[in-house]
Amino acid sequence: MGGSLTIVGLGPARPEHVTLEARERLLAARTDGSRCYGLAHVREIVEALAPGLEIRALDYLYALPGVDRPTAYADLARMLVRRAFEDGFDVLYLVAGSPLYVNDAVLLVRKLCARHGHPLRLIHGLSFVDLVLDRVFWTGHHGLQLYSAWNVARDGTALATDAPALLFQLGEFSRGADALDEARSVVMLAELRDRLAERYPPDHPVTVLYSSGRPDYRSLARQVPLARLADEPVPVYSNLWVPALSGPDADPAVAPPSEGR
Amino acid sequence: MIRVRPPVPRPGRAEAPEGVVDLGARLLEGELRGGVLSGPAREMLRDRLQDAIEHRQYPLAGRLLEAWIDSWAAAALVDEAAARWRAGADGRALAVLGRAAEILRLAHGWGRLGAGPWPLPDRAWLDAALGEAGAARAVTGAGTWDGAEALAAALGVELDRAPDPRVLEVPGREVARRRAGIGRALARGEALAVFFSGPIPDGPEARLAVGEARMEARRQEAFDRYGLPGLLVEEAPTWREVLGPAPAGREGPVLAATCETALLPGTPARLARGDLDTVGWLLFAGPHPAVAVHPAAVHLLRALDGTAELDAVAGRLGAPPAEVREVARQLVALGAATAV
Repeated sequence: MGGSLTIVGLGPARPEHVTLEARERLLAARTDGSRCYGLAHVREIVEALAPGLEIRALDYLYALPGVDRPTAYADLARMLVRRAFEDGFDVLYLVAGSPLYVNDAVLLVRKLCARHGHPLRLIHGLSFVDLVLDRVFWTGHHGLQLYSAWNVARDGTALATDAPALLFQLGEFSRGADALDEARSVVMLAELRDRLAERYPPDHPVTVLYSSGRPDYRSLARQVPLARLADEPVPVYSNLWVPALSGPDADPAVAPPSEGR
Repeated sequence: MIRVRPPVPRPGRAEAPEGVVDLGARLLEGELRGGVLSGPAREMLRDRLQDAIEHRQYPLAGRLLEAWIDSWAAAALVDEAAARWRAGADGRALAVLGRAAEILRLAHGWGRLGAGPWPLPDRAWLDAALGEAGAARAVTGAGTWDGAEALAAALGVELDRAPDPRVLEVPGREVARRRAGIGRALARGEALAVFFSGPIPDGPEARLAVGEARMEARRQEAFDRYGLPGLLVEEAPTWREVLGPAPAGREGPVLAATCETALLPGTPARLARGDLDTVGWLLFAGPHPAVAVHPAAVHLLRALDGTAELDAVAGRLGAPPAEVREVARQLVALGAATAV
């Protein structure tokens, strides 16, 4: 039976950040019978790029009592593969950002397809990492530690202090859907502060990197001493730049905005 | 043999075939009417509401209060909606008829039929509706989701099944085992909605299967709202979506009320939690939602008789004129009063 599965990265938020390949695939999907799946938050950008394209909303996966996220992601991966390669649909799985960064469902789809020999097309998208790094001075020559805030605060991951670190999903205090409650993000921030304080001095300048949100999604930065990290809440999808304590990437400076205005 | 259709209104003017009694048409003609909703149904709701509060059945009381409040707008809209429905499938008309049916169901304490808001009337209503149809009957319908099974059981007659491929009826206990086939059929459009009959097992497998099926079904939301009629309309708005704020009145020194008022034991949500408090309500006989206000606003509105100026009304109420003028301004903005 025919059928195909394509994962489409839509970038962090702005339609201008979507690749030409992704845009062309979305436009084609309006007429070629492809079946599109995604969370509700991709609707806005898809509507801007391919008006009228119907998306099957996957948000139910986050609202099922007694179903944790790993179970939901595994189920989603199996469902997408079944729909494509057993039921014969051309399936598009639309995801925010880059499909390759911090997307467990995408990873499971890729593994499942590899295990069963199913062809998988992956259309790349701009990652949040590309955007947020424009507010710091870093080139990559001396490395970068990329972890979720959860890894450091709760999983015991220890950072090396001679290389900078970018910690993402800074406001995620819970593995449940209520993690979008910004006001409670200080729970995670306080735990993260205490873990970092084991290796960095209290006055180490750390920078919260986040987006201004609709409509222009500008990269914003707020630098604070480590000891003050939990003083204010942050949006769940904020990131934390932790400069190295020494060496070429110890520059704590915040780069100016890059919109040319 | 007389065959009986469940009380679910079908659009259009087509007569039921010979030998078929359509209880949907009887419901539309006899019960879904403005005079019924504003008269006996509203009275029954009030009595049942008092009873529910006395017996501390607060969740039920909350639903009854909401139905009572909605009966003003529903009564004002239902006759026109029924006429539009008889002319053909119309989503906005369906939203009004659906809410009217729900109000009626709550007023009588009737049960619910299958999918959607449609009621299973009591035996007395059924006997009256079928009075001339004779004793030799069977119910005709698809099964559980369209109420045919429940109606057959209520009448104590056979069910003459007429499968409807638009709805995939799945026993709840089988949902996980049949998941792949259900998802495929719905994704291919072989059915437009899914209905799970009987209890659905607890646990992640069944929940994920139900979630997938509902996500894949093209008209699930409309079906959940209105049952079979929901599949016949292009758009299936909710009752709240067909209502809009009342237009503001005109300001002036002499005002008259343009809506009815009531002092009630709370809002539906608070009453459902057992939180009783006196709340004023502005009740519009039109396509406008009722508005909760401070009880003082109700007292003021009741004093606006269209003859006295506001300061005189304030004197009668023993209230500061400046405060009365401010509340009156807000009532005008809400469309509850206007200058005469």
